[in-house]
Amino acid sequence: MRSLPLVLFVWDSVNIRVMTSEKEQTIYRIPFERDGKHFFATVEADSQEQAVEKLRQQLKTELPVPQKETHSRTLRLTVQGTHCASCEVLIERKFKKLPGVEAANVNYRTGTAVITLSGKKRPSMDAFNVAVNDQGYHVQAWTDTPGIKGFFRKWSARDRRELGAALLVLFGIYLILQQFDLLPNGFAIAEGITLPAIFVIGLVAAGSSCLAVVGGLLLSMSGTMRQTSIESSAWKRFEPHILFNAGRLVSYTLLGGLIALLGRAIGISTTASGALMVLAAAFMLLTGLSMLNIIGRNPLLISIPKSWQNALQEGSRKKSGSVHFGIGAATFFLPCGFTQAMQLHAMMTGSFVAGAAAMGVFALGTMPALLGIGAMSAFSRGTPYRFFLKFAGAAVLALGLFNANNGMTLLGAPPLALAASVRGALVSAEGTKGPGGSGAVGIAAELVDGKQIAEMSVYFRGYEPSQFTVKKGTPVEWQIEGVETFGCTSDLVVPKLKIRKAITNGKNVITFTPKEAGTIPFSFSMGMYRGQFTVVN
Amino acid sequence: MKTTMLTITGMHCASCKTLLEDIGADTKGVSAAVADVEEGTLTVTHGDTVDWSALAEEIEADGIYRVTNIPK
Repeated sequence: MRSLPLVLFVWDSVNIRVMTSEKEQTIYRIPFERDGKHFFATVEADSQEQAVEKLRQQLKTELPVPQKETHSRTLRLTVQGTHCASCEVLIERKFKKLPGVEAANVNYRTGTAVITLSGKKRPSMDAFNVAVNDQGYHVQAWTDTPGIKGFFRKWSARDRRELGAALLVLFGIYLILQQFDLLPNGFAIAEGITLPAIFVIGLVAAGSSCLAVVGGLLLSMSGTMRQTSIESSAWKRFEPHILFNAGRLVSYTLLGGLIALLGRAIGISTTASGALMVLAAAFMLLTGLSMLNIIGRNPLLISIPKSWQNALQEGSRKKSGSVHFGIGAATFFLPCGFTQAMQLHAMMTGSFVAGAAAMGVFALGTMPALLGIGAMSAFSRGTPYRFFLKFAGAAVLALGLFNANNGMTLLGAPPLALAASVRGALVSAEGTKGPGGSGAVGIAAELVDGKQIAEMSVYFRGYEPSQFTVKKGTPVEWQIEGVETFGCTSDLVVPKLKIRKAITNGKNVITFTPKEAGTIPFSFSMGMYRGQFTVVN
Repeated sequence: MKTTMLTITGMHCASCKTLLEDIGADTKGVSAAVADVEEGTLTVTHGDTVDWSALAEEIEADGIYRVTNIPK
């Protein structure tokens, strides 16, 4: 008696790939059994699942799933760590050598292995793992989650423990960095600053605010590299970090000299740097999720079709080096407060050599911390590495949120609700000094001589007060007293008014007339400290 | 024992190295094979007779790699 009218042997075999100008089409060949006879069906579909579904519809019968292991001839496994076509072939070869395995078909994109068993005996999961663990892959029982298959991952208890520990460490570092925020005034970047002092500022910058921007990028890079270069030597994994820092050093020195020569910043527009920041943040968020094993693979990593790899491979190896160098060089334009303050200083020196020296020494100062991150990610292995990855993942995620928020502010958008509320909670928990504190409506500007006077002081940790209420149609005289203008608080940006102003110690005045009711947000160029005018009728 | 160096295009990662060394070692008459991803070479240690065309065929089978100097 037949218990099932139809048996579909699901293979992952892609027999024909058709490239059209629009998309890559695939024809799947699915063997099936009916009334004891064997057939093949060829189905054109976007995915294997879809192909099976199409065939199932055609045959108007239910696909029997799951097949009982003892009788099944195929076995589906999830393989983690696959990243390219070579992985497919390598794993297939390793699996085929196991007793009881007749054929193996691996798809590196979905991380799926379909095993055809020769007899009733099937190798244990351990046997599959032993075969490929050395190459950096990990085999699991197939987990069926329709729709988002292979995208979201399951967490083990160990994952959760490690993530918990990582978050604790991260919070500890956050608390330490808070102390850094209270740096003495003596660090202020003034005209007569010496090169050793600049070096120290570089050290501090790389340990605090610049780490938030550049470090996040760097950790993403390490995470990505882990995904694309399994089991390469520690030195190989460290190399990109050296190139990244070399890129920084060269671009900072050259551009530092150049801006001193030109006497003006060759910065990009606020909107562009905001967009750059949001893009970097998106990359960080996805990489963070991927490093934490929440999603399978950073979707922003472009996967190259097998057929293109041949054509690309010759140049690509050399190119990847220059990519890291280029990313490092481009960090000159990333809105980090310290970097921008140093750029202003270099600008004021007025000589190529002095400007180049200042920026070069600054980049050199940031190097120990940045190279340290690289070394940690490249040279640690096993449990320390797994922990580092968890920690870095959590950090990259947090920094991604932070940068997304700052980028959005630069683009003139209101801060993300979540980040704003977190920040609000932190601020009120600290109990900020001064009257600006956590006042939601803010200070009403005083009317003097037909002008609305808004007085604001700039401190290292931000500005006070940060919220003002002004009336529509009356000119506003915004008096900004620079008390501790340093790093992040020296470059004021008001996107709506298209104002960008370097705030110096002492009095700075900006006048504008609010033309419509609403809010006018402002921030320091890094987007880190913000405030706003509320315009009323 | 002799060594022969094959030049292979298409290697790009550690998986490639392992894969090619695996293919090399599985070939009859070959005692050891070491791949260098950077140089794009596979150095084969072998006895007197090796079926080079079979080895090359196996390497090129998946369309990823190409052997540019197949010994006679």
